[in-house]
Amino acid sequence: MNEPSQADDPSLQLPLPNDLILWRRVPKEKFIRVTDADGSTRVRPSSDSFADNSRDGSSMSVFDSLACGGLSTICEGHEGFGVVGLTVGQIREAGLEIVRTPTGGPGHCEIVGKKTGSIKNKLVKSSSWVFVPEQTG
Amino acid sequence: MPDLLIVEAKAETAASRPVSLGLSMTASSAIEFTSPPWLPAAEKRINALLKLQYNWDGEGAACVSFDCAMGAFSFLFSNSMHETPAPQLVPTSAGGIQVEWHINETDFEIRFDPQGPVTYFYSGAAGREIEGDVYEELSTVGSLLRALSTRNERTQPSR
Repeated sequence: MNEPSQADDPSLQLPLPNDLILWRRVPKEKFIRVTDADGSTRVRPSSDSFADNSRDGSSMSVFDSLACGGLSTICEGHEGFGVVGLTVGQIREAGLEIVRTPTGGPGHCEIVGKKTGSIKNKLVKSSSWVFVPEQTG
Repeated sequence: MPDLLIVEAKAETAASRPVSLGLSMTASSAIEFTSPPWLPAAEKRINALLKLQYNWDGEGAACVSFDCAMGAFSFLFSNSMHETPAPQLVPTSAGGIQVEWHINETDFEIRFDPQGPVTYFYSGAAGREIEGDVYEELSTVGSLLRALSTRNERTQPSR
């Protein structure tokens, strides 16, 4: 079934400046624990959180944080998911492009380009948690 | 029958998936000595990943492939030492498994995909990055895996 198109979504016309923050949902199955040099640990997304969509081969989905309707909108129906943020500039620095799409809801964008291990690792390290579900630790 | 670690794949009908790996250990002294202590936990985690339903990531993720699960477990059993730090096992949206270590600014990931070769990515503290095909570069992968044990020891608090 095709997703409904939002071709008249006004956010489709908005620019994508380098300082715009994009949000990416991360399922809890992709939370991993990192041990730092001082022995402390923290939780971060696995690099596979920045892979393309396996269902239809489309590029990785993100949301314009200013045009998507807020965290509650993009997390609706995705209980237990976390959300990470990274800027348009950080994504461009990794050699990828961002395009707005008429599907996927208001503010929906796709990150286009080949995502090698190195590029996914750069995205992981550029990203930071915007929302972490409870009982993650 | 020799003492071996037996991974018994009980392949049932497709409808009855997820499939249990049915790991059982018949411990010989040699295996007790060399097997990493986290191996049973890895088996438990793989079994949990095999139970994930279609679309578990909200973006159409496939169920985890039994072949990838077996591939990941078999790799860990064959290539890990007692000192190898516990890996993290992450399902991929493509239906595979990514085996990961993140210790002391080193990232090491081995990706088992349902389609395509088993690949790895390594990023060291000095910014050194390598990626490639695991089974074409098995000696490199083995060296990186052994080096993880050393890095892990450095992050352990002194006792």
